[in-house]
Amino acid sequence: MFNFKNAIAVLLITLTSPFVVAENLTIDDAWIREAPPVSRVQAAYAIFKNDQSSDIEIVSASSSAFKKIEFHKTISENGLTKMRQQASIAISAKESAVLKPEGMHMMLFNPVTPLRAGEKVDINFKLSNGNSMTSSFTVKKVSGSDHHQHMHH
Amino acid sequence: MSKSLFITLILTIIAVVSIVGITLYQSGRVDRSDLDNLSATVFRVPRIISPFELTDHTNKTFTQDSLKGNWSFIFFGYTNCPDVCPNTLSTMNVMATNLEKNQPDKVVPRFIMVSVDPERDTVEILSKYIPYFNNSFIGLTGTSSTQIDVITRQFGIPYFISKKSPDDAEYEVQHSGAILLVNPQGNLHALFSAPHDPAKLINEFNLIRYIHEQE
Ligand SMILES: [Cu+2]
Repeated sequence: MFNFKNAIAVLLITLTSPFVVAENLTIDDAWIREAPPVSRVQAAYAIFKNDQSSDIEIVSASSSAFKKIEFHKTISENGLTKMRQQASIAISAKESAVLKPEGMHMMLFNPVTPLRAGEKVDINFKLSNGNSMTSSFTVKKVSGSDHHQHMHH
Repeated sequence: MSKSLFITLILTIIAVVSIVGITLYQSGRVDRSDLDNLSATVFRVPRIISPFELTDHTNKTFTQDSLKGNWSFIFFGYTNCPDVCPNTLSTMNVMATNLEKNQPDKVVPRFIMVSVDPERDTVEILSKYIPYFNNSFIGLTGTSSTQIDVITRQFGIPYFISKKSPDDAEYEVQHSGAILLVNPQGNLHALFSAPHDPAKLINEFNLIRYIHEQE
């Protein structure tokens, strides 16, 4: 029997869950590297986990805090380190896509205001099936002791 | 692709590979027994650095002579670099912090970033960027790429300013992720290829230093 109150409760839990749920996609360890004072670009990292039995593709990302967001992969080619723009982030069924320093990242262009460590920023993701989801990213300053934490996930 | 273009391409690749091979041979990179297991490439004969002149982030002139008297770790990057450069400078900061705390004889090397984007990275920009990572770090820039090339060429550091159009302001600068080590005599001593691990860099630095001081 359909219980309207329970349905509302489930909906509320879903909407307020710390790890945003859409499809069967969870976003973990979502953080933005605090930009040094003069940088107009910075990177965001996260782990996207696909719990469903079909693939998920994130086709775009946007945030009111940045002018533009692109998906980039840092690669090394002919002795040069370069960033290759990626059309999407594909997460295979039951797999994870890991965005981490010197690998895949989201490239955040021109912050509206400089973001300091500790601040939280919402990033909205559009999926290939037309759905969208929002996740909260925490700004962090990487230095000294917490460096390893991010390096060796 | 036309056949002649294809052949030209192949010949170019062969030429480049040969030049790189000859350069490597002449530079005398060897596997000395004590340095065998290092990830660093230690030059058999440290290379003399020809004169260059750059400006540091406090607006002082910095030349090849400024490198004398202490070991220096040198990285090439640019301030509008979102991932690799801040990550490398953080690695250097971990190294600096550890060495300051744990080095028994208090020999803490210099840590230097040379900008490969002099057009955007003015002295003023570097003066704000460099201390963000560590107050003792040194940032170097010039007024033109020609000035920067004097040091990148002899250090064997490739870079490429990839502007999509002449007025592209968000351009990326592709560059080597290597860290170079200069000895207190002011000669190029070793090369560390990316990715970099601060603990490993410290261990290898101390071994390289020890062997150099024995010689
Ligand atoms: Cu990027």
